[in-house]
Amino acid sequence: MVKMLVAQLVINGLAAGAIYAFVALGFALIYNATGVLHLAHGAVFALGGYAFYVAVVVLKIPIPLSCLLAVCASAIFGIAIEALIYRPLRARKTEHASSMIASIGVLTLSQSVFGIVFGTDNLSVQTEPLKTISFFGLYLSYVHILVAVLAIIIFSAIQIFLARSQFGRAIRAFSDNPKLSRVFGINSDVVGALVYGIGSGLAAVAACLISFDSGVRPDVGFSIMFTALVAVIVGGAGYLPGAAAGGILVGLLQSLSLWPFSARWQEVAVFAVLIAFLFIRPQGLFGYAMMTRRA
Amino acid sequence: MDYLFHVATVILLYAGLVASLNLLIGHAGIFSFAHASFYGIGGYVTAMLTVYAGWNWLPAVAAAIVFAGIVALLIGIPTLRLGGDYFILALFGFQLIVVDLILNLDDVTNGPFGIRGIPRPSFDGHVLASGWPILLGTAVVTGAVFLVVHRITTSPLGAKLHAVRDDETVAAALGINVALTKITIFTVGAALAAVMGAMTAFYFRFVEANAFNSEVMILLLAMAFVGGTRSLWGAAVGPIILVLFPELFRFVGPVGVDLAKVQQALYGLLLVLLMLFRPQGIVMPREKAEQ
Repeated sequence: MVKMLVAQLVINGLAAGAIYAFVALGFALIYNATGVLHLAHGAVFALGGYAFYVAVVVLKIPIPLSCLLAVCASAIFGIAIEALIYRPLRARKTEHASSMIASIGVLTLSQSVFGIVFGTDNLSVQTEPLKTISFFGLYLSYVHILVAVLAIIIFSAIQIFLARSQFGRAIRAFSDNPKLSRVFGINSDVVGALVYGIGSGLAAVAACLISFDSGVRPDVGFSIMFTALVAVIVGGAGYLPGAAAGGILVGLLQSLSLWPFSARWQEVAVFAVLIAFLFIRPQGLFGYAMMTRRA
Repeated sequence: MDYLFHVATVILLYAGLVASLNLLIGHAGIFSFAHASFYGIGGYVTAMLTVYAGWNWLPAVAAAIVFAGIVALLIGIPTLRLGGDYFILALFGFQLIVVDLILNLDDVTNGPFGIRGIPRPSFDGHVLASGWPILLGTAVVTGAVFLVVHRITTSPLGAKLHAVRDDETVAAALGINVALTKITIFTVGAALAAVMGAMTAFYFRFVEANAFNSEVMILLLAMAFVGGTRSLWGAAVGPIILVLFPELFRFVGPVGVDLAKVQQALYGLLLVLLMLFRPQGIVMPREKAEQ
């Protein structure tokens, strides 16, 4: 019985973890390339969720198309934040802290605006209980399967894009050494738009997936952002597959903490892991430190 | 009249708190995103000792200061040596954990219901009553915090802080013990926040976790950056503007919209605009701020 419970918690944890992995991967991509502690990534995530909800429930657009719309909306929002806020701050060479404070401002502003426009309830696109299939007494919902399939396809696609394509190589070169890559003719504004576009799109995919399950509410961006940050620290932001793996580990841990503790200790458990990692292994599981350079 | 006393007291409470935050952000370059939690620790320790243990107000405040200082040492020693962004995340994590602990440890903290009936301080049998006496008491405490901040920033320790803030490597090369300087000021900042937390508990005679959560932290950041984190008077200007502005809404506000959300949205917008157009705050001219 206990074995079954643990196995079920592992399945749930993997599904939740894959969603964190999408957010963490996007954040890490942005952080490595631009050095901005982009906390407004949570706002971009929430916008994706609300865009998806409006498309599916209000405009009655088919789900795949709605998901595409949400990805575009988030990508535009992310690129706009980069172009209108971070780029002017970078040009002025102000302190690194300015862009982080501005980022917190965007997160706070959009969280309140979502609250005013959509109310504080959880908005889910799912009206009836999720259909599940069971095997050996374990339950798998179709969303679980969708999450797994999407995660495998999209993570491989990103990996291939970064490794093989011209733009992917430009992003990696820029992340490695911004000054030198500028000398070689890589346009920092183009790289900025690319990483914010891709990173924000990844967050939107996660937001669509969460809309089938718990739904979105105004403060979802805040909570998912900090869970994703823990994932990034656990995995090490310098190594993108590490950030994704960190997301899955945090999801597992959060789910398994339900077994000995009650749900209200979940958040404490996640942040206890954060603090423990910062003390014992700040370079992350795979040894690629996060905060090694400044933009 | 009572209303004016209330607004003035609240401004003073925030002013002292923001002055202690400026000491860390503006003068030492330490982005303590857990400042609201030290404020809360001060308030809760004072409340628990006076209400549950029946302590007198003075030893309770002393205990609150010492406790916040010890917690700051314990959390500061390992985190301050981490890089800038790591430190910020660790402290934000700490802030969330403190609020979660207050909410979840209901045996000790009464959970989400908070602690009521905190007795007002008394001198010689004269209790600080509502209205002008407690306003005066708050003014004295806030004035003392301002004085401490002013004395530190103009002292040799202040010069060390500025050196560490501007360039840690150069500061170390000049023979400054960077780690010791940072942990000292972090602890002092936390202790000052705890003083203001205790004063807040005495004023409202009530503490609850939501008065010290991350939304309050964002309000404090907005106040600090409006006034300018390197300016002493900025610590008063930020709270004056951000406390009075929402109060105006009470009389002429839009109807049917959740006012708290509008306020929170304005704080966010303010942070973005300040960073883009006046990162030094509205009090100081830019040249002076860059010194």
